[in-house]
Amino acid sequence: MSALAEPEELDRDDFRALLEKRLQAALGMSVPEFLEALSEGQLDPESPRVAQFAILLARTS
Amino acid sequence: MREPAKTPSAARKRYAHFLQLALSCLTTAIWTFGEIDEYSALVTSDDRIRLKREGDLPNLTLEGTQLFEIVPDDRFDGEYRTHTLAYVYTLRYEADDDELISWHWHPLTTPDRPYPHLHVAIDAPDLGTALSKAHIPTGRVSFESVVRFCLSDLAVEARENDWIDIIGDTEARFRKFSSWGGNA
Repeated sequence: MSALAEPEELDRDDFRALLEKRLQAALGMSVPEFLEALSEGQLDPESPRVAQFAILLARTS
Repeated sequence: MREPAKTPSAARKRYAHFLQLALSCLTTAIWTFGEIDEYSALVTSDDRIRLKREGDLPNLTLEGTQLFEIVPDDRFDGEYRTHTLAYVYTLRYEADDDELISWHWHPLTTPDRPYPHLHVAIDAPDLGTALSKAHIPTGRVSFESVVRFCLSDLAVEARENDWIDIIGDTEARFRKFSSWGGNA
């Protein structure tokens, strides 16, 4: 077996920053813009590139 | 062998460690994990993990996301365990980034569709509905079973020669400690 890779744990702020950065890169949106688009039905929470962010962010206030 | 988690943090790390064993059968990429709101989450370290395939077959990419929570372990006093709340595992063609297969379970964000399902990007023009939009029912799908599918059915090159044993061990652990659907 190869040398064991270990998962990386980020603190709360860094983890959120990572998700925000990925959301911006994937959909060109900030978190508030994403949540607004979801709540107004402009984004399908199951569509490609959206579903993974929806499960992580959709309850964020 | 049981590895007791005496704190929520230890339970989170233990969970990520075992999922990493499975991911490492495919790639040098890692899981990144942390807390978000009252929950915890795992995302693959790159949203386009390259999966090299045998011969001249076109390469794929993998992206994984999980939402989970840490709860007291009813079976062992003073210990904690994870409880999965949602997952999305997606395979795409590397060349055009088009989605190929995506395993979904997201009861919190689609309460009207609480069951695990699969989207497959296959044209079936006579069907009268887009299969990529259809919700093909599945049982609960472990990340380990996605890794096994890639290696055994999609000719993805294994990074570990003993991947069958690694996946067997981690998936047996998943089945043993899952609160539901552990046979997936």
